Amino acid sequence: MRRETAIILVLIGIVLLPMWGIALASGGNSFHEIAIQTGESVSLAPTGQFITMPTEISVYAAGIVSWLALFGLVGLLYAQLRYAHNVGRRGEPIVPDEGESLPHVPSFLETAHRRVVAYYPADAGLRGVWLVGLFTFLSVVFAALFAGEAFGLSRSQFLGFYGGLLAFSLSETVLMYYTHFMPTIEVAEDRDH
Amino acid sequence: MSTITESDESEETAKYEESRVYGWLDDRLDLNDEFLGKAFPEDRYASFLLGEVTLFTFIILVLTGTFLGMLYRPGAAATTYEGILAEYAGTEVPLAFASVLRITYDVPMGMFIRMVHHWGAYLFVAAMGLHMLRVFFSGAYRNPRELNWVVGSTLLFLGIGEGFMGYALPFDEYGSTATGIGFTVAGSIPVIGETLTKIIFGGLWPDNAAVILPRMFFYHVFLLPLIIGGLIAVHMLLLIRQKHTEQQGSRDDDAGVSDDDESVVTGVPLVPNQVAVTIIVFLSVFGVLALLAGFFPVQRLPVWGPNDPFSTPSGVAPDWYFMWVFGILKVIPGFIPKGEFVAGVVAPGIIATVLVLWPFIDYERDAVHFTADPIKRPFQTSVGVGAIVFIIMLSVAAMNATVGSLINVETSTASTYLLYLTIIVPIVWGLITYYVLKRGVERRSDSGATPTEDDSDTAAAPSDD
Repeated sequence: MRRETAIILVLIGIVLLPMWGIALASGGNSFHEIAIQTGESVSLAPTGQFITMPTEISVYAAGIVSWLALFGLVGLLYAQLRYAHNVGRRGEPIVPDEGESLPHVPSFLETAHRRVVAYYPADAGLRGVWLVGLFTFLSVVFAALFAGEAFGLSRSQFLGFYGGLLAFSLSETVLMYYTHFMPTIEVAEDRDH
Repeated sequence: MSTITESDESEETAKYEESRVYGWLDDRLDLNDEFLGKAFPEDRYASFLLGEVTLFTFIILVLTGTFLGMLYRPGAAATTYEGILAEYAGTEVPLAFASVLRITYDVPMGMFIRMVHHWGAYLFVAAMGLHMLRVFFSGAYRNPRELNWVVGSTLLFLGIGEGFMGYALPFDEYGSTATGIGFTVAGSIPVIGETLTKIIFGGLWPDNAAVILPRMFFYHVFLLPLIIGGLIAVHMLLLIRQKHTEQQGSRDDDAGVSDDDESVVTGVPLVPNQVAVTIIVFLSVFGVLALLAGFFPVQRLPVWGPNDPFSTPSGVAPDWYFMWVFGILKVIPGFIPKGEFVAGVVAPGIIATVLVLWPFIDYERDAVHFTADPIKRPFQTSVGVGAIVFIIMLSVAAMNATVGSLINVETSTASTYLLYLTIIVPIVWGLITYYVLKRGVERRSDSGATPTEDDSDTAAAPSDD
């Protein structure tokens, strides 16, 4: 990281972190127990949880959680994209401009205004098969758990946990398929058309 | 009029022989398949995906909002709640309150979907904000993309307005008290304030809640989403027409396209590569929202109860993205006439206008298609840093009571300190930033270390391929 970037981040951090501290000190979080009726006629338990969490977090803390979640999401996307970039372009590319012939590509990639400038064939190796298989398996497991919860007690914390892991497993399945079984294509297109 | 020859037809058939579905649709709709190859430039930090994050959050909001909208009942008339929430079972509460209790506690997955909607709204605003900061600091708003900045910044304000409407709908004590702050601000507009409030909402809050709630519901689920959706479409169309900006130095070395060639844009094509990335982004966004919904359920309704017109609960604040406006209201000096109007309407209005019109303030005569390096733009970057710090300081000012108790002074004294700090700190921080960046520019210029226009972290970092 360059010196100027670091200084700017420190400058912002000097005011941001105290603001977060004051927001947390403002309180407003509630652990007020929410009582749900029980009995034969009651089939749902939306407040059921395996980790004790506040029943309400304050609007002050909600801002911090929102931004941390967004930074976490951007970090996750960064990691996924770097993986696809680094592993997907590990081999030697085919460069049509240097006279190398391309395998079949869709017609819309080579038009009057657009051309393929690099083509990295997919490695389609055994490692990719295992990874896709692993995340597909996890997706099925979490989908089953999510469906079971949705049709059962419908506990919100369990739904969130299973739903989150299901989405991440599916995301990694697509990432692994994209990285290991799809060619990485780089195109250049004219701006003025 | 063109005529289709046999050779044309056979060419078309060969072109789509691998996709009968596409061929079938193309026969009927004459699809322009060139769009499918649109180039999506990459950047090292995935910051170019923030727009997609925002878009997908909006889509999730629409989907979850549709579910909620079918079950919500806007109204303030008393009704008996007959669900499983013990505290209110069999008691009379306002219709809107009862319907949100029912959605949350008595409908399978209701609480989960409602919480995804709740956190989706927060993530939507935060992602828009971060997306705009990326565009601002990288100068991606410059000619020819000024119009798209105007559309984007308008979307930001519509987004937080949409959040305001949603805050009131459950008609709980907390939400309705916070909504009252908004009504007070709107009503403070000289001469037309009260009339305007009546025209838009049908009366004063919360006395006329029976009339206002259905209107807010209409604005929240139909009018504003329609305008936001339309503006997002315009935003996308402009992006497609003008094409993405590109980060100089991020081009694939093996592709053999010159690093400073602005006549082309390089990147991965929409089909097949970017579609895969898009699916990954959508699933990741949903994954984060699902975890937030599961682990941070905001069960405000049973904690605070339904709206009580005879009480004014303490400790109520608007949503976090309104905190900066709340801060202005808290520190506005008493000697300023019509303080609520100045703090709640004029000051935010000036800030919003400057933001929307920024591309015309920092006007670029010639078109640029590469993003700028923030550390080579001392003025713009220092304005950006000052603006961020200003918003943060105003948000601190909104918590003046907490600040007072932390430093052991009266709230009014704390407010005075915060007023001075809100003015001084952003200016000082901006000046420090300007000085540091200016020195950096001069140092690089002296040492001749400027081989490219952009030697940002992304471009300068060694390839780890």
